[in-house]
Amino acid sequence: MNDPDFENQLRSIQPSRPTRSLEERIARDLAPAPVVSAGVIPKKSLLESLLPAFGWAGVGAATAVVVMLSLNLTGAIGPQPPAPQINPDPVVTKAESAENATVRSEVVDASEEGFVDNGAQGVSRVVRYNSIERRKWTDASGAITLVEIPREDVVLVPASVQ
Amino acid sequence: MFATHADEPWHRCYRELAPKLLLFARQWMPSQADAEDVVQAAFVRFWKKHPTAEREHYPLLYAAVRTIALDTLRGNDRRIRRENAPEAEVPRDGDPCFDLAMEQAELAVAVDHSLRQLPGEQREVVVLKLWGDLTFQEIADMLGAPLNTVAARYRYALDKLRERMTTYERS
Repeated sequence: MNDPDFENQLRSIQPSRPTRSLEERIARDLAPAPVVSAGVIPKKSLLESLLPAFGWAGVGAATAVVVMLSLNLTGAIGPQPPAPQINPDPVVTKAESAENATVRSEVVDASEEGFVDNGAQGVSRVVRYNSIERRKWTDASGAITLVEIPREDVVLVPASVQ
Repeated sequence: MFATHADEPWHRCYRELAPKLLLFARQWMPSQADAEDVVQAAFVRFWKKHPTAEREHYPLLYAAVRTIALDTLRGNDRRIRRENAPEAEVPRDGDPCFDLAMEQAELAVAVDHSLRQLPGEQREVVVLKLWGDLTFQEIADMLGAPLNTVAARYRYALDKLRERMTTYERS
């Protein structure tokens, strides 16, 4: 038997067929991932378009302002001891070290942190003030220097217990 | 059940190549089930890269089968060595590689038996050439071997097959 005849004889033998499960397994692997939702992607609103540009930091800052305002405006709900007075006007004082220096203290936040028992002095409310102290002075050459110092004060306010 | 994906593009390629790929994978894998695992992995990997597979891409599919089969075999060898279990050696004789439910069942058994006795480098060339329908050039590219080397392996393998089949049929 020459080579072509022998090759044809070998080719006439068919390889074993795969089981049906192989086809199913491949079909499962090649199946497209399920689509959760279909439709036209809605056009972005102006806000959504601008948010990435300005960043979420702006949103966070705006939220913080709103929360601070609401804390100052709404006050306490229900009968509570009188809230400590926060002077809305900045306190302007003359610094002792420099003749022409001024110090402005501006309270930016105040929060109550519950009650503490001071023993003989009774019960007190704990109030935390966050403020910014601005120091400004002018030197001999006329240059103005402005320094902002964040401050945090915890004040105990005596509370009456009935 | 099978009509559900019979019209899908991959199915035409699968229907044409699956038995050939399986036979090719059987050159390394001891059982039909292991070979099917290899074909499954290779076919899925291939189809995801070539969703419009043409005839010219088919050598890549055979190459994927070869790579995955060898990787699997190496993994098995490592596992066997690790487990230090001599009885767990990979058997070289398993399910028949050819369809025995046909008129040429005896010839199929003879070919199967003779094929297993060929050196691996000759066996894979014969399988790719005769049943994979690849050209010598495609086989050479796939194996990274010179064209003349591939042709020589085929020639040697064919001679040995003829000789061993004659011996087998006589016995």
